[in-house]
Amino acid sequence: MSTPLLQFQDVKKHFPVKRSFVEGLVGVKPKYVRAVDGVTLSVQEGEVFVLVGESGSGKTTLGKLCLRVYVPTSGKILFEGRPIAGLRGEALKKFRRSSQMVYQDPVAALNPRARIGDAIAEPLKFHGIGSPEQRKERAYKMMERVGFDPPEEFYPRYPHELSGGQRQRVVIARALVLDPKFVVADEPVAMLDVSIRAQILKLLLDLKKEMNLTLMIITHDIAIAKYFADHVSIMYLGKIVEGGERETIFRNPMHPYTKALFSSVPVPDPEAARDRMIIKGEIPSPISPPPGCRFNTRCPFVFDRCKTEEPPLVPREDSHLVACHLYDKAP
Amino acid sequence: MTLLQVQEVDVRYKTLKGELKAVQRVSFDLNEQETMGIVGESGCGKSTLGLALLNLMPPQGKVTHGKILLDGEDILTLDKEQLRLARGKVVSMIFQDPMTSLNPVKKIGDHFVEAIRAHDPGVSPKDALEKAGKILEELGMSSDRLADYPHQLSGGMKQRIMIGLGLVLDPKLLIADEPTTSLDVVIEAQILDLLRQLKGSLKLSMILITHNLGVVAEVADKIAIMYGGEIYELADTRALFRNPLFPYTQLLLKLVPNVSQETTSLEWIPGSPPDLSTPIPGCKFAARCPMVMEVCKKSPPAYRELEPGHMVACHLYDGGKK
Repeated sequence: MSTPLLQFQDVKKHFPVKRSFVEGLVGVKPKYVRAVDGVTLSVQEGEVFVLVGESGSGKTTLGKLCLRVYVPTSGKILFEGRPIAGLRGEALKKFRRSSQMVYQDPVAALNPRARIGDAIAEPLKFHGIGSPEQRKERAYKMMERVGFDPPEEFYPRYPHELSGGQRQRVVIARALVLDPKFVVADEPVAMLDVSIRAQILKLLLDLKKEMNLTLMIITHDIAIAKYFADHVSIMYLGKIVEGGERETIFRNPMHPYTKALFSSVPVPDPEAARDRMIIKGEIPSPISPPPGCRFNTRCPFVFDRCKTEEPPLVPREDSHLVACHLYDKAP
Repeated sequence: MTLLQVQEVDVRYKTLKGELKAVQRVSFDLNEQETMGIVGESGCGKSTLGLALLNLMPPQGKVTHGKILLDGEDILTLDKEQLRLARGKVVSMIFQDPMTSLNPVKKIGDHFVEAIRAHDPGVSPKDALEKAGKILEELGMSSDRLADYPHQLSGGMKQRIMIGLGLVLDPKLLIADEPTTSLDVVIEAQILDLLRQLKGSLKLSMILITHNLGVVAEVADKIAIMYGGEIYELADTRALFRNPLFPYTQLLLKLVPNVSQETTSLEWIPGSPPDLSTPIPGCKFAARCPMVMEVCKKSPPAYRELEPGHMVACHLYDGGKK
């Protein structure tokens, strides 16, 4: 196998929690939010890597780490085999050109006072690519690709004149106009109506094929993984608990959390059996994650060892990684 | 026993662009202990309909036609005081966003005390708190939470509190507008499970407003499909899933992702929902309908009962069912 496009090696990102003045005086120990707490993963070139997790699992922080929006507290992130933490000057600019982000909320991501065409051409300007005319030409081309037809008509419009789906197309066009290699899409359709979600996801996927992208989709929606992923990783409280090929994960989810996630999805069939596995409680605070396995406070199969020893993420079948003590007992 | 009768209700909003017909000729009945789902995309008028049922219209909106009979009484004709009593005692509403529905500077307990004493000032704050504690326990939370402020609770807990506040006056009907939309799947499953339990234990009628057919499939007895301000199909949940008649319903069913199914292709509906500020002469769905005919663009289809209990408004069935 060739070198992965992106590799995480035991990456941690802890954010300090602000101490009050008095706490500082009396020497209360600083606390940290352990948003990402020891993640190792690799994203292969050309694949759709879907990262699934609840709010508070650290999935967005992980996405931002990929793009060096955040610098890790410890651990290494390699892009094309080179650590991204050490990039400076031209090399950093090149990295920024080749990796882009599609944000969740197109309303917040777009300047309400900028024409959408200018918004799409902006990254080109920032990176000093082409003359103003050439940039406009590239913006037109990109707009056509994301379905604005004819682009000339849409170029001068403002975000408020567009529907939610169209706005998300603008955000996608802007991310792709620099011809990146790697795109992180953080909840790209969470704010959209069900009837157009599939459309936007399909567009992302088509563009991925046309432009030879590697795509990381961050989502809480397992259905997206089901329909679009090559590789799926499940994140819980700062850790990857399970990861593997889509078929493997959906055929045989092994980690109790993955199982619970799958059975929590409302099934659009009133006659389906309701043998759901509903887990109790909520995701614990990442400031003081439970010792041992992080899922032990909610796991229906918990036993003593889970409360003291953290299960490593190890292959259980071929390339199916699971972090759970349950499978140590079985031969 | 019929608890709620909605008869030919129209709701209009005044906007800068002129009058917007948010809800049009909506009729349905809801029996005691029955749960109905109202399903549609954003902007289809489902939340407006929910507000109209409580006569809670914002100043720029108005119910311009129709009757809403609750226990035989038309809530649109009640005066302010009668209406205040009806809201809460008979009907309660749970709003979409629990984050913005709670007062951030008031403790959870104060929210309960306020709701209880607004309807019965004779109850002492101490008794009110006691009652609130019992409700919290029923919702699977510790009564210690009454001393917390909203920011100390997670989204799922806040939504439980909202449900609790809705239940505090023992209403007969609970209207929930997207009660799980802002929640994670795991918490969503917990809340749906809770609603199902409450439906049984408190003998409640419920109206569940949502864009997610998967959510109502599990909880509702019957489902109304709204599009462009109108109900286009209304049927028993099983009948609707087994035999959807309106093309929009058929498409909606196809685009609900089903994790337990083998298929890996996802469909969508081309185009976007209609702009209700300009009048549409025919069927509102005609512009996006894969089975559109000439007549659909010209005249609105009649809303009729095609099979017992299965209502639909679609020109495809003008000559009866094929």
